[in-house]
Amino acid sequence: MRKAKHPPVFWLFLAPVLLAFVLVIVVPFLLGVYYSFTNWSATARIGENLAFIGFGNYAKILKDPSFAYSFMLTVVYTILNMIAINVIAFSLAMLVTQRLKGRNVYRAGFFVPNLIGGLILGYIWQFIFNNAVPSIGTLLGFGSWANAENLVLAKSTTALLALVVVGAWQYAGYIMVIYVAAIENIPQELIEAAQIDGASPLRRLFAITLPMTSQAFTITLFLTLVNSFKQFDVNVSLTAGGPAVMFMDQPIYGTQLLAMNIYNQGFKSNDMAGGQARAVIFFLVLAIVSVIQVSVNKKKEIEL
Amino acid sequence: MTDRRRGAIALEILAVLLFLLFLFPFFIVLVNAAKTPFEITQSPLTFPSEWRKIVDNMVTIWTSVNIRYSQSFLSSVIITAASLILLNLLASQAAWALVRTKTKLSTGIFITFVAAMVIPFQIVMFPLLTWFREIAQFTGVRLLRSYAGIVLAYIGFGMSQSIFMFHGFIK
Repeated sequence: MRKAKHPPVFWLFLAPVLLAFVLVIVVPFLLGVYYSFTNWSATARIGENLAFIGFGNYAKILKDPSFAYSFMLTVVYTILNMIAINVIAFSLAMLVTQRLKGRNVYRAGFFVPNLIGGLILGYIWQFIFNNAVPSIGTLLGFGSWANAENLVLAKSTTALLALVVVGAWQYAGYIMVIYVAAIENIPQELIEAAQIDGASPLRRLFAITLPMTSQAFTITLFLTLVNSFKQFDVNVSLTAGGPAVMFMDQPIYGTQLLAMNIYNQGFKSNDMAGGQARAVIFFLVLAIVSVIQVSVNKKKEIEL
Repeated sequence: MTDRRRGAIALEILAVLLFLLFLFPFFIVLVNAAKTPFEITQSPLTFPSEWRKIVDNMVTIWTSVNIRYSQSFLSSVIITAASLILLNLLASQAAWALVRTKTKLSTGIFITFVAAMVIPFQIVMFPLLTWFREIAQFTGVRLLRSYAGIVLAYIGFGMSQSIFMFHGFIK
């Protein structure tokens, strides 16, 4: 008898995850894409006034200044956050792979912020920016730091930087761990050979460490890109979208990233279909950008 | 030799300073956990006047019926434990099946799981609510406002990455 190509145990082992996958991702995803072309709302649902309206929701989004603003803001935030996280994480990784006495303690310390949820981190940092920073200012003799208009979170530009600071603080330790693993996997003889040839530390960084860790960069850049683009919880707790700014002659949220824009459109404005169409655009942009990023990075990887 | 030693000490000091900088927010949390609300806004940076207050504050949040911290804590433990155990069990057995069966279908399923990592939560957020409500209507299994629903959702969202990791490891 011919051996079955897919034995029962194959399907038995896969069944639970396939079921979860279909229930939680596949069906809602397809439903979501469908809903984005309808007038879906609290009063219109399947079997009850639901009408297909084509690209109506998408046309509305293109005319909405708050979406355009959130989109640009998210791009800026993602770029700043990716640079900040990776530069800090790589520097920390270089530091804690040196012969330091307490290197395991330092590693643990840099990783700790990642263990706490973004919502709580946001509230902690909100307190720091609103209360601790003015106190530090007073101690140093800058009493003006305590004025309401000088607070970090009072201006949309500095509030965006505050989001980057918290994002980097939260995520740098996690990315550092990936870099540490990559740096420790570099064959010791390569470094010794370079040292004997008289290569300076800077030269060793560019000629050995960076090329030898290029595989790690593919992963870290992907993770930081996707996570920065999807930032939601720190945004909600740290700035809650504020302060307001004027954009295209309309007052809108000054630090509302895309994920929060989608959430507010659906749950606060009760425009589920509009929020869903935003989410579809969000998904397409994220998918295209991350596929490009991974393929570009893959080409730069070197194999030993 | 002394130059090298000096460099090592400088690096160690730098690491300690960065370490303290990273933990500074936790210092703020700790010192303010032992203060009254008034004291917190008056002097957010100083040590509390009475460290003993930290115990009182903790007793308050654990016992207060308005805050219900203990209930939330229990919920977190239940959800975390259930998701973690199920996710590890189900993802590892699936990854094992996918690695050991070398067919086009098996590869296709694996690639589908990995590709799903790019799907952001936001796109399934709204439909998930209506969809779970429908499931409850047809099967009677309550998935909204229940542990079962959130554990199922966590398994669904966490699965792609777990299978990817296990797959690399088993191979």
